[in-house]
Amino acid sequence: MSTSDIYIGLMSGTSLDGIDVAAIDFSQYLSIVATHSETIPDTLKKEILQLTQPNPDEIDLMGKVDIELGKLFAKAVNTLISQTKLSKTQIQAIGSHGQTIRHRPEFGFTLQIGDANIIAEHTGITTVADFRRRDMAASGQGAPLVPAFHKAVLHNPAKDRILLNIGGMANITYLPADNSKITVGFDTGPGNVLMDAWIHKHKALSYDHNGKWAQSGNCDIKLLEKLLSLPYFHEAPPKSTGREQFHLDWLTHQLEGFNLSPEDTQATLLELTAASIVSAIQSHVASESFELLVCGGGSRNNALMQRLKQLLPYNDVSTTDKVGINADWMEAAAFAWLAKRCLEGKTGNNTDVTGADGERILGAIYQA
Amino acid sequence: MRTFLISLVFFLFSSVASAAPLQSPVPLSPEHEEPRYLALIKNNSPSEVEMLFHRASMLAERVDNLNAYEPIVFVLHGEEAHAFRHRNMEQHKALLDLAERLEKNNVIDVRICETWMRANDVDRSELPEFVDTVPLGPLEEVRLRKDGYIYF
Repeated sequence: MSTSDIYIGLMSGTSLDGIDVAAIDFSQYLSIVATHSETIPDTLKKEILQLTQPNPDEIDLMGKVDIELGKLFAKAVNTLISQTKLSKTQIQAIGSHGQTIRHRPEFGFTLQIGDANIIAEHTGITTVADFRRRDMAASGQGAPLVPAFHKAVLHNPAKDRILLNIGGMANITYLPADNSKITVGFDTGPGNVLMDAWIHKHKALSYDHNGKWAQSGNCDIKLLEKLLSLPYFHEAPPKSTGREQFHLDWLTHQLEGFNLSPEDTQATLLELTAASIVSAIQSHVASESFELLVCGGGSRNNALMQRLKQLLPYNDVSTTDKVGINADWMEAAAFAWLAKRCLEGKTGNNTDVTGADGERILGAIYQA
Repeated sequence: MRTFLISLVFFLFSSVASAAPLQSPVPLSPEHEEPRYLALIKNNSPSEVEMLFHRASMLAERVDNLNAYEPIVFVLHGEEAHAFRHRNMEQHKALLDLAERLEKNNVIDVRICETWMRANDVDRSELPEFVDTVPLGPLEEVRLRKDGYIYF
């Protein structure tokens, strides 16, 4: 095995379900060498959530969390390496997405924390971070960034494909078989974020395993219609969203006037995720004969996957496991790839999807 | 016929232009020369649906060859759909008879939401054969809008 092309991707998404670390070998196509998932302590998780909404003294809190997350990211990488036969000298770089605490493309800023100086210092490995802001500086949304990676590794000249990542938010990348056609990519809306928040509120669980709780309730069509009428769902891409828009307080406000059981609400939230995804595809993808490949935590929610299959009965719907990339590690692999692109001086954004003025080399390098 | 349909477009559009939920931002498809219609149901009551059926029937009487046109789609996913259950047949006989006749004559196409059916414990066998079902009503409306259907 070539030792010259291994990168580590570090991803902590809006769902806050853990820090994903994956060592990716790009010497031959793409192979996932090792993976590790690091739990985020509850206290830290709570502080991160606090930072996603305006609060007093948030700069002090952000400084504290930035350091703690940097240390936790470094610990996650060191744990991954200690569990494998890899040595640090084999790793070209770490690509760290960071933890998004604010994403405001409408104001031209996005903020990911988890100090990359600390990651580089504590791991001894060159670290690339802050991938989104250069795209924003070029008038882009700074998101989504994964479509460029999806196109590089999963384009199929024989078949239209849609990559669907269901993390806290859900995003799609449409890869037409005809490479001359434009790639379409955008956030469709909430992925797991509302379902996670709702089950945490009512059952103190971090997520609804396989959507079992949602399946014990019934979707309320009136509430679903109300939620689907949110302007975001009807905006044309490029567009991106985050916890600033979809959060528990927002949901609580939407529920006013509805007298639903918690499980019926959960069923409606699952339906919202599925319906907003399918609606986005039907509205903005110029293909009907596509294959849908799903990745991210939501791909392991059987009820959600089943619902997507029901709503897209004429399409092949499966996880990215089918094409050889474990659905749990797709996002981490994407940031390993973006780190590689940065070190090689190559661009990492797809302007069709971010809306940036041009392709840019993304990320800031923190040398080992 | 074309004159009739053009006047129908103006008539219908003027009545629904300000009340179109779940509109797709995608421009309407230019592929279909003739307009296609989707019923706009606001109150979710059987009487509202019956009124819309009568309006469809009245308009259809002015068309020579109905089979040359797409039927007006009614996507039902609220209280109005209860009217189609066998157990409520007597109470809503006039509505159901009219629906069956209009379906048979290709004037309307009634589609009931399977998600609504599941939430209300309605089995397919409880509904008349002439109605269709769709997985999710609101999504079906989005799809039809994208395909160029305009509200009736």
